[in-house]
Amino acid sequence: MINIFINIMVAAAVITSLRILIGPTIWDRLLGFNLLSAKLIMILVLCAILFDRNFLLDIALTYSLLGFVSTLFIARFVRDRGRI
Amino acid sequence: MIREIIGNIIIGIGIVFVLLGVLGLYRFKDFYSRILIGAKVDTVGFITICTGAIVRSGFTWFSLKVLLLVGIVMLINPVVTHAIASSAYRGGYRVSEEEDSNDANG
Repeated sequence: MINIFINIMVAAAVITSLRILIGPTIWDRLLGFNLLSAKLIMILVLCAILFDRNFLLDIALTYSLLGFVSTLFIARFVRDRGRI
Repeated sequence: MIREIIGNIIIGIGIVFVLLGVLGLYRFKDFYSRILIGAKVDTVGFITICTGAIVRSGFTWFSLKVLLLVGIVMLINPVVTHAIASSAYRGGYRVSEEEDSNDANG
């Protein structure tokens, strides 16, 4: 049952990543990246259930924190038009 | 055994929310509508999937880590969404300009 869920989530992540490619503005691309990282965290949680390993949750935690920092600073960088 | 079935049902409901979020990401033609629908529905789907994982696992170390992950994502996701929307608004992006460019293109 978890296998089917992981397949559906991978399909949703691929469809979300199309928004990064076709987004008209850079903020659409940032939104697509944020939602894609959220879906990857969900896939990691489902994989941790499937394989019954605890360390995959540590990887999910680290990935969420790194995605937070990178998205926040790219948003500030775009808002100030390249001036830091 | 019954706990696994209930957990699978809750995870399935969460995946339905996530698929609605993916649909809303392509259904709306405006950036601010897209960021509203995408961020809100995706957060609901994440919380529901992690609730299903907690119910499926029971009271263990695994569920405690999932609970920590839910807490951090509930703190992080609104901040990131607000940062992107604030960056778009202060960077000079307006809805009417987007509609005009759409009319000019199509």
